[in-house]
Amino acid sequence: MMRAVSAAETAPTSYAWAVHAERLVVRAGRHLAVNGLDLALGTGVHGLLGPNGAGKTTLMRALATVVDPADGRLSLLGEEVTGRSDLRRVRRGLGYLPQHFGFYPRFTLREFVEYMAWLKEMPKAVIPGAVQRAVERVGLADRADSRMKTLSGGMLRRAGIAQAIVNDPQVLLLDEPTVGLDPEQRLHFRELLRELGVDSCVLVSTHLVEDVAVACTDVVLVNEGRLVWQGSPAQLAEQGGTGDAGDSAAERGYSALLRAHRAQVTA
Amino acid sequence: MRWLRLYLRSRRVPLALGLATAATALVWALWLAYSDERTVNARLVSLTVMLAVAAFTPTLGGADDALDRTASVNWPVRRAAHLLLTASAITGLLLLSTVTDARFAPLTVVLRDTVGILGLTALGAALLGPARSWIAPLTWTLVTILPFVGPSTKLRWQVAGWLVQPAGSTAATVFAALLAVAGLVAYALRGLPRHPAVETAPDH
Amino acid sequence: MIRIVGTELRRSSAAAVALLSLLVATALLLSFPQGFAGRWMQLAVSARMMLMLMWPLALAGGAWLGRRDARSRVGELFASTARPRWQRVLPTAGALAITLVGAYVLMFLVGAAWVAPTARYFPIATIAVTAVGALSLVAAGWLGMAAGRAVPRLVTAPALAVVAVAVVGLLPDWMSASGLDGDTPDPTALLLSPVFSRGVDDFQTVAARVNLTQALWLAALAATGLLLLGAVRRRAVALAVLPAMLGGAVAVPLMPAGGYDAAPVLDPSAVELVCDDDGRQVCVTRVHAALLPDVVGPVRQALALMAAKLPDAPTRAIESREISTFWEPQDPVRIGPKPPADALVFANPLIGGTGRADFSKEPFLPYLLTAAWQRDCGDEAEHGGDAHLARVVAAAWLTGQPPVPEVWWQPEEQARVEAGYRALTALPPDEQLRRMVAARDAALDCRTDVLVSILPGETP
Repeated sequence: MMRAVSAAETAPTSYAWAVHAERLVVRAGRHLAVNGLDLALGTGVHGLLGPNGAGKTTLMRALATVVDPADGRLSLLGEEVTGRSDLRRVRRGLGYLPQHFGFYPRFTLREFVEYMAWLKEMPKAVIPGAVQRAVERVGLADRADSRMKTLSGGMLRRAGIAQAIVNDPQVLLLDEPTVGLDPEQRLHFRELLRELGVDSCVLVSTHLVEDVAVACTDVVLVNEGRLVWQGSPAQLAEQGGTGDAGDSAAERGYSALLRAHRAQVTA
Repeated sequence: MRWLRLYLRSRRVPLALGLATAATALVWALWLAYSDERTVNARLVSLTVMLAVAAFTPTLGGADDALDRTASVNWPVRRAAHLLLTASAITGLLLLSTVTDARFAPLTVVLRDTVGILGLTALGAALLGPARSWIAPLTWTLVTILPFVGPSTKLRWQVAGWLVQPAGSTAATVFAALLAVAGLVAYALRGLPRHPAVETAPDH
Repeated sequence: MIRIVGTELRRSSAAAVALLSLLVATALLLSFPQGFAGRWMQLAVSARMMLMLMWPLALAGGAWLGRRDARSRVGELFASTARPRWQRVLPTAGALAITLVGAYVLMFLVGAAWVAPTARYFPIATIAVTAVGALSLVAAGWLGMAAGRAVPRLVTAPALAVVAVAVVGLLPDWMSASGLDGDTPDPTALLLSPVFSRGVDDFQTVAARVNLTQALWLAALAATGLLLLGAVRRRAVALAVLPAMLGGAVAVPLMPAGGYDAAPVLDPSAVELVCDDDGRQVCVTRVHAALLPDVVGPVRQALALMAAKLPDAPTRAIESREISTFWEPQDPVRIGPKPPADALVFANPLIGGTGRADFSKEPFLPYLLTAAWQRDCGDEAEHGGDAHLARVVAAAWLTGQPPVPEVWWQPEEQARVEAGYRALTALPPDEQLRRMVAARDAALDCRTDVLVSILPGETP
């Protein structure tokens, strides 16, 4: 499919990291859900792992510019994100699938993705083509003209991915995208992730270590609001010994890293 | 008692009761302050009843109706009791005023308006869900309030303007009773319409 | 943007809201077509009365639509997008405005089916009155959206509608009713309400000044609604209230004093005469021109009867140009100079649902015969009901038939009319004629004492 390429897209990137956080602090209510996190992410697919309550969703929300950081520095696509700054330019390059994906139930899938493309300030001329491509990429081309409220749980999740990728974001944030996907769809989704990771920064939050091990180029492990470990899936697998909990090398590595971090914190 | 309290809280009844009380108190205070008559105007009575019923409308559904449905309690009885208690709560609220100098009266009119509007709301809830159940009673009340709809001798206008007919009007009373029974039966037996589960919020 | 507006028109509740108001308001409008049939200005003003229903519904519908984002939990997703909030709300607000204006205009067009076939006079102000009504619905819809966004609860929409009907429907009536006692004019601020609960006379139009100031105020109100809807920060919310406050502050001093009583003014074009010269001349006002073919027959018949019995009988007939105001129906005001003495002055017959004359409720000829002893006398005093009874006797004398009793007469009134007729016809023919001519001469001078003297006294 042809599409117009704007000057901004072909310009060389002037930043080292698509996502760069230093000593980042983000509140969730009164609680400091992200507490002094350092993170640098470039192009590729990054899997965000961590136990429940580790601050994954809050970190995602801060990266999506939904909540302002309480302290520390955060820059996205080379631009500083604070409460005051004009975020329009950064947001144009963002794609975000929240944990709770809200939508207008009476819109059709195509209309909703089109609406999201409009909200992301895409040029008018490219919207219809981009919408069709996004819907095709998540395998919902046959349901494009169905109302959102008629879609099943797994389809809605894929619809959420479609709206997130419609603007070919340079930073794509997916919060638990594989919930409700059947095994076949998950395989398809991993394929899609690899494609997307070629030229943009994708951050996938998930509890499924397997997905990370297979589809990601990089693993980010957080716990209690801090970065615990960052490395490749192969390195993650190497972390685990035979005594660690888990059914695969990656799961054993995950358990070992967490155990080590908890021991370090309590010590 | 504990279960009753949990049920009432799960249906957000305390909030509804607070809103209904506030609305009634507001109308009562305005009438007391600005009118020389003791009995509140029939149009204002129907508007107040409408407000009180609207406040209770969200209690017709729970946070997750599909989950509620799987509970093993006797829902038809419970739903019928819910409606009857709501009607008595609203009527009781309005009748508190009869000891003061601004009265929602007579009893028959207050009772007729309450059961009629609540019945229409329950009917709407059973057919369209609580979120849209206020549309029919509101529209009807608004039509009834219009200056050229009033007490009438013609049956057609007695039914159309049943909310503002005088206390003895048989047609209006019968019609309100019909609405009440239809709403009670439909809501108690059928419950809320079944919607496919979506990730959006329930309507309150 | 245009595409998004299209999506909102198809998928949002805006169309359903407008459809509901359209159906209910049109049904009510058509429940009494006699009120506006054949007259454009009356249609426009009747439509403005329907706002008493449409305004609260538009507010409630707006609140429902404004609550949509909270209901669908899209806040999280939309917060990460580039487009600023004020731009995001435009298509939704635009769709609601389009459907509400469409509903109002459609209601007007449906009503026009009862007007267009017979109306001969189209005052331009009709368009202004209708445009102000449509604008007011936009203001209501946008204010409702802002309220629904601010308080995203189920009860918001119905509560808002109830408050609105109290404010635009009940409050103005109550305020002006309390003003009537003290003989003070109604508060000027009543005209801030877009609802015309009083209506205007056929010979009147709505003052251009009222239309302009109302348009100004309602546009300011709509702007406030839209700004509130698009506001993100506290300061923007505070600024959003400014247009409405400024609009109100500017509009109220510019409005004519007197509330609803000040809005209607005489429409000189409406009262211009349209005549049928094919025989004895019969003239009606331009706004009633459609009635001319219906009245020509009875009027010429009445003129012929008068010519047969009365010397100096009227040779032509002119429609009365008196305005009975709502607040003083017994005290009509005459427009223009006294009608000439050789003309019979008659009031227009009832207008039926088709815009043509409706003679079924009030027979026209007997009334026309009484008109020979009547004149447009403005607020000059009459002997009340006695003059009317005496005219019935006089009309009966003209036809030579005993008077036909009216259903609303009291038994003693009927007895007096019959006694008066018997006494009159018992006189010698010359004396009968002398007394009736004298009564007519006095009546043309706006005195009814001679006429009333043909009736026996109050207690026979």
